[in-house]
Amino acid sequence: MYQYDAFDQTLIEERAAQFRQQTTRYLDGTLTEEQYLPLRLMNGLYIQLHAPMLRIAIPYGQLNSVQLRKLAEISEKYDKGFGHFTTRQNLQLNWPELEQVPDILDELASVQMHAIQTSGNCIRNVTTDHLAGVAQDEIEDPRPYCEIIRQWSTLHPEFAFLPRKFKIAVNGAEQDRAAIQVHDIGLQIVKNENGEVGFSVLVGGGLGRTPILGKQIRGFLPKEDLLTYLEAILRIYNLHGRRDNKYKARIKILVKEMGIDTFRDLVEQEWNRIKDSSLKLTAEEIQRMQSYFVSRTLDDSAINDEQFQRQYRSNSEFAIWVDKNLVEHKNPSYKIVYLSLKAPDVPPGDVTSEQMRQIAELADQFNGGHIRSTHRQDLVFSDVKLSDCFELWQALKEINLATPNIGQVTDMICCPGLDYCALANATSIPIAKEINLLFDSIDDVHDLNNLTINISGCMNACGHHDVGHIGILGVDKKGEEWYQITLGGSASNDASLGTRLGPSFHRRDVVNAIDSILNVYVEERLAEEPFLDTFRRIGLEPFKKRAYEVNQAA
Amino acid sequence: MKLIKQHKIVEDNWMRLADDAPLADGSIIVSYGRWQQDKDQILGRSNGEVGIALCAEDDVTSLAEELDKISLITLHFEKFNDGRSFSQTRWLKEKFGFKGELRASGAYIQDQILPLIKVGIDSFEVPDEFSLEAFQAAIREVSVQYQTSTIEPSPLFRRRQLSVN
Repeated sequence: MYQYDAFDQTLIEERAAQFRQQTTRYLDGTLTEEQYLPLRLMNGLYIQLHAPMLRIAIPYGQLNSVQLRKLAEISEKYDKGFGHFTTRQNLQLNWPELEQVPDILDELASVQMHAIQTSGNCIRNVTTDHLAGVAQDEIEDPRPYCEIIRQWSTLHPEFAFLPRKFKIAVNGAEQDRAAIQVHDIGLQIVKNENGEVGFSVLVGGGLGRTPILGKQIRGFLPKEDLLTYLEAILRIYNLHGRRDNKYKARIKILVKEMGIDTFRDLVEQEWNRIKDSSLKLTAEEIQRMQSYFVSRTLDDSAINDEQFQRQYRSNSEFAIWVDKNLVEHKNPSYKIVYLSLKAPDVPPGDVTSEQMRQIAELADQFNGGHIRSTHRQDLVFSDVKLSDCFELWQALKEINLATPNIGQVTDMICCPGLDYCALANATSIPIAKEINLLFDSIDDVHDLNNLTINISGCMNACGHHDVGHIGILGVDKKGEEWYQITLGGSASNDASLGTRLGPSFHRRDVVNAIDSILNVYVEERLAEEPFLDTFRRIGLEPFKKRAYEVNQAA
Repeated sequence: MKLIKQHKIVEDNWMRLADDAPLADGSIIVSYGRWQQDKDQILGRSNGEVGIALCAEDDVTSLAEELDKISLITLHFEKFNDGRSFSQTRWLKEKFGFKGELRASGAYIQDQILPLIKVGIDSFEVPDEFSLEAFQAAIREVSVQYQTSTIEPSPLFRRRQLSVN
């Protein structure tokens, strides 16, 4: 994991002090509401329905146990004893007091953390594959590049007042686990014919009101040119992106209206001007960053650990957890373990302060003190010894983090919705809870075979509904909560945006409609066919027919 | 309104000319639109330098070939949160090689002073009540910079390497 040096530490301390000063000026009336707004957003602070919400950055999902203990302490001292993991791999606190936020930032700075650029019309927290560095299908570890991007984008003097928010994701494996096609910029690590590492660069993807998949702007960008190319894209966007209508201000609209070829010409022209400037990365810098992410020295003695095999054969509950929540590590003596934050009775992505402390303990004991957050709002221990898995499972069960549902229908992505968020049209968390009630047992869940449901309370799409196999979007109709359903979305290599089923459903009918859709899938699927394949084979109609037969549609 | 340049309050020797005011001799600032329209008359005056007031909407590229005739460009913020002026400044300085004075005016806020200096702004029009001390405090708020800028043309990763070697 990256370790701050004196420069990095000074910067976050100065930024925290600056924010304290800005908040003081706001509270004494020197700064207007309008002026304070972007300044607080650039520090992750929203004013929500009930209280401010502070979004704390977890750069590309990497966290250590010291930091998690501090988050436990902060959420207890300044909040109501829990936090919420988001789809940008960050952590949100829902109840801090505005006046105390500067103190929280000071505490965060003491463990190399901050809330810089977790909101606002600037470059947001860069995200990546939560299996980076340990996945079997990896081309190269994306995290050193994420850290390079994090530093370049932090307090960039030119790009703090963009037309709209700007999200970058990097994927280093063959399988896209970072949803790069629905980002403003998506970077895929590739090797060219000479075996040199670089990036395939996508631009103009995004969710929200106008969901669009990104288009390729460059097939191979040498790694040394990463920052100059990003800077060129951002400059063209900053100068040309629309500012007359906030719903048309994302880069995806600029690329769409201008056409990818014209946009590319402008970017390449700017890039040719700056590509050999001092911003060009050096081999030394790339190596320096890579040195922070070298795998821990792993002990190979546990290959085919007999005890693990015995436990797997003799304890079916353990075996189910292993099958659903563990992934192969590139070293066969180890497993990658998911901690499910999607227990049926808990709001998706929420963890209590007590759980944070226990996770930190377990991370120290079993995972070298490291924890990762995923964009599907779960956690990962990346290097667990085979021989430790059983003990870890027992400990996770104790704290309700071993629900064997990773990638399953109840592993829903879900925004906070109308329970917390000022932007939301409808609730999300109660929908997730009711969907959970559709299943009598975990076998029913597993029977549905890696089917994902994503729920957003409004079209800002924090819950990524457009790329859920089943997407649920809250809409407001004359003060009542209604829900639109989409089918067939995907955020992986075969990325696609869901197709609307039809008119929206009333709050009381939406979960019935989901039930009908699941039933059609179970009846129509061929053998082990996953939902997405069934949907692509039989189309929307059978699902639509059943859902509206059963329910009274609007 | 007063002017801060090179960390000092200085006299403003420029006259702002309204779009409907008759042309005058001396150093005048005209709007981008007026410049486009009356370029020849403006350049044909018997004395005085030319300044252009550029808004975020205006096309900075169209000035590229004319910069040797211009001594001052004000980057005017109609809204403080319109970030185009930052990139315009950078292009004027770095891409088009403008050698004259780049000045910020309008609705920008003190929290933007340091980043404005970093992209190439030389002078600031500030309200009368804004003190030099507040200006000096604003530019000291954050001392670390990862990126390239006119203050520090080398990104931090290159400076770090020097401090190690």
